[in-house]
Amino acid sequence: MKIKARRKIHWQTVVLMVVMVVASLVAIAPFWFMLNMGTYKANELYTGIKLIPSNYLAQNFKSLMTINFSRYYVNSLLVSTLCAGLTVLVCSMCGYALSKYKFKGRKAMGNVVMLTMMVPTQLSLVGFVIEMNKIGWLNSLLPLIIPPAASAFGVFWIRQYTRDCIPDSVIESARLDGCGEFRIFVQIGLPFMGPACMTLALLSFLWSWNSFVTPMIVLTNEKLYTVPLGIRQLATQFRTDIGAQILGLSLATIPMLLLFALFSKNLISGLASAAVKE
Amino acid sequence: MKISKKVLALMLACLLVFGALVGCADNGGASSAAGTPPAGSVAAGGDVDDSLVNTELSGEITQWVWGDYEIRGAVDFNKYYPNIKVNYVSVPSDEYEQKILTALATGTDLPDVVNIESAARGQFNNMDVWERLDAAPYNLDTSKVLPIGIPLMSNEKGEIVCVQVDNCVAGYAYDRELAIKYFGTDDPAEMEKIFSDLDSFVEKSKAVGEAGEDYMFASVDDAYSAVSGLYQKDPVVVDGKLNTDKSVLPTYEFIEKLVANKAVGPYVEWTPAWYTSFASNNIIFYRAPAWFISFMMKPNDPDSVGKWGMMTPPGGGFNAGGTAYAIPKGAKEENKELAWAYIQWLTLSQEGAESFYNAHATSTLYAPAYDTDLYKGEPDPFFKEQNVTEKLNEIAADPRTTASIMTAYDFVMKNANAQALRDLEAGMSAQQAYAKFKTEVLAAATDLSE
Repeated sequence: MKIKARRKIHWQTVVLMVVMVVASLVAIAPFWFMLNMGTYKANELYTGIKLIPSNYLAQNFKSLMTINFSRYYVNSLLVSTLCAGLTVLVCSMCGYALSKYKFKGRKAMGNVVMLTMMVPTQLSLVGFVIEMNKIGWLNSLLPLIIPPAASAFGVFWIRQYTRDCIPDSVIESARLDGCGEFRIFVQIGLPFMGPACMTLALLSFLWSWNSFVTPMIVLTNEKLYTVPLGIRQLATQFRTDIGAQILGLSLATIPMLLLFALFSKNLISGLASAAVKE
Repeated sequence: MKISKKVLALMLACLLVFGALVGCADNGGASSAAGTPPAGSVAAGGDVDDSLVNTELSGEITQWVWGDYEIRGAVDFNKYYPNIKVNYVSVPSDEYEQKILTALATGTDLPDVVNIESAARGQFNNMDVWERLDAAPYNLDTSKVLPIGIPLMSNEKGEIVCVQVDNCVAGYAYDRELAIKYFGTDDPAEMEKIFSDLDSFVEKSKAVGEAGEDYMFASVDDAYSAVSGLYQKDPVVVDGKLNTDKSVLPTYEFIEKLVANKAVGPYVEWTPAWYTSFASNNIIFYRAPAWFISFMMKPNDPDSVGKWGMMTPPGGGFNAGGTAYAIPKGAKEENKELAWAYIQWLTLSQEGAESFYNAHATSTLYAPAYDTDLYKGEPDPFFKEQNVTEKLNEIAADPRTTASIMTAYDFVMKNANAQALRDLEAGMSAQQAYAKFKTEVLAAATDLSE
């Protein structure tokens, strides 16, 4: 009986493992091929499937650097980091206020925030550019950092999370103890909002890092270009140099891969806790 | 353990970013190319006639470009205009038009020189936003432009609003080895006799398809590019009505026959796989203007020697592609004179023609240069010592050669055509594909009728 049971478990495990390994290979293979192809000369890329890296990485890297890719990289890191930080700051304050303060027009304001989420970015692009031009921010990195910080999704996200996860009694207790509103927000609200803020920061970084249309329209100085613009430039400048293009794509994915490798638990816990209402 | 993993990941991140930054430091000099012409190239070259040097005009202008076509092509500009600095700002080619249109819609700063690619020319030329160049103060002398270039620079009123830099008359490049295999000769004159009309292409494609190893064209897109210019003799819109029965339909019928003969390859144009088709040794024909040879064929088939030949297409040549320069009405007033000096030098001067030809082996449309030795060319090993410059200029001078007819509906037609080509590739009949093409064009351009 025991032997039979063992065999049964063993068989299931083997099947499960095989399925898992195959699924993992299917998921990982494109990344592996992408990294691998960046080490090949363009003409060699279509002579068969490349399983092992080649020796052309340095040359591809050299080609890549002729378009100032490293500067674009630094710009993207700067923009995405600042944008993520500011988004968390602005949205946490706004979401907290909409959730925990009762004031006239609160519901209407919440609805306005929701409405703005429904409008595709492309539709409001012309108005956005005119606004940035009037302010004098065109051709700078500010339009990529400041306006996205007032993210409608971020406000909505924090509001939902805060409403369910911060007990009003805790805030009331703090007030009774003489704690000021800002201190309550910083010392009580923010720690409660930690997982949601972390999730929002990651999503904000991701959106900012991948943003293409807005930088393409507002930037006319190559020194300010971000990675997505740089990658498109690769396609123009090195349309025959596929190896350099793929190496650029590989480099562009590194920050995102690292962030998710480091903070995937926080992201998942943040998403899960906001999704479940107890 | 958790901490060590995080530390490891952070170290890896720092290492990768540091690697990128080190690369930046090593290549700082090269990256400045976008702002100014490469210093070494400016210094290179022969002596400059002092009487042609203009030091009075001074200032800084901006041109949005894709790639390095102008950076290399106008490399000698500062020898003649040392006090005009041209700032080249690279804009991704696919988004160039959108960026210009957004700037126009929002009234934000436009560059002093705008590039207008051939696909966008019909629409852009007919927007009333460009300086008229054949009127004061520019007074472009049309006698200095090859006649084939005039329609490419004009709007529907006949006003010249941009200047095309490159002579884009196309011939047919062909694989000599495959030509001998299927047609018994690789001699250009013999090839032109064999392929005196498009029916002969269909006829000969049967043997190519039956062999099952090679293709007449790399894709339906290439077949379209090769013949559409030959059929386009009449305006595509007449009195608000679509007039494509004699241009688009026969092109589709030609493609349908080639597809039926299994003589069209699977390499969709402008995809990575298509780039490899040049070295795959199984494609016989490409339509090939000069830029196509420099930017597509030679870089993608670098090891070939004597592989290719160049012949005149049946019925003469046609214009394929090209980049033109315009000055926006909304550009800074003080820069317009400088922008015109730059455009004029590059497109309408002997010095500009030399600079451009030396960089790209491509002629400009400056007519007097054709009376000099500049374009006499030389035997090209890539083309088995055939003088390709001479051949392309011979095609350009052929009275049958025509320029593309550009209209404000080009974008709409381009999109509808792209879908129709995929349908033809999948085996749809020419009539069905054409009906679909017309339906889509009329749906998108509501002011047109059938």
